[in-house]
Amino acid sequence: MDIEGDIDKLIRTDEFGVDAIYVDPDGVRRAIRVIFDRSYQNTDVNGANVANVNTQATAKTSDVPNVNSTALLIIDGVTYKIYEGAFDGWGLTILSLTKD
Amino acid sequence: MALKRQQIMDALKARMQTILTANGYYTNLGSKVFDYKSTTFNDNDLDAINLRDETNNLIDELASGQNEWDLNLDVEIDILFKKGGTSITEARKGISDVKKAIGGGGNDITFGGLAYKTNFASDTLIHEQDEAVIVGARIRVRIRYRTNIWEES
Repeated sequence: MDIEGDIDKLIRTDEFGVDAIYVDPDGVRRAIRVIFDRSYQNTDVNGANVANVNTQATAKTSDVPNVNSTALLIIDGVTYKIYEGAFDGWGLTILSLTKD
Repeated sequence: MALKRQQIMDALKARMQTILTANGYYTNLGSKVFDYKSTTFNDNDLDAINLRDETNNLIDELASGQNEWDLNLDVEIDILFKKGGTSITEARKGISDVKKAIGGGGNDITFGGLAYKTNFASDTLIHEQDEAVIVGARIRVRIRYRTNIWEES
């Protein structure tokens, strides 16, 4: 099974992928491709629901090897802070993004 | 006859509506005060205060008069701030404002005699992270008041 090859197909821009710029914790910029997802979400704040957006990007782990909360991701000119990077163990990393 | 519980909540809401920077407070939370809003808060609803009087407890049954009940009304005062760069410092200011509005500066904690007194119980800071950070706090107060037995007046 060629997982790396499958991942590459998945994040091709003519499939689900979009172009992005990953700015690593040292400030080094790298052009990568990610699967970008923004979906409506109710954030539960002690029982009060606040309308919000859940924003995630899925990247190849090899493209974001040293991700931490000081890294950035730029998509369509919008700069997001990465507040969480979760490795799935199969070569992908899910980046949780915030504008704040 | 007016419900005393409703009168107390109305008075508390009116007090919260005085929280404006023009009145010497840190925040303008008083510009949007809701009474038990259960639907979703959208951007246009924030910054906001939401009042919830979930629990009412009978106390001092023996001390109450034969025809009266003494009650503790536990009120949760939720404060929520508009998303986008709001820091937890705003929530701390909001807590300070709510406390001040209730009893600071000699404010009347009986709400014009509707209650015996109002006590601060606790506060909890809230910080939720999604695409936008949402900060807020929950302040709990206990309002002690008296009604006729088996009545809310």
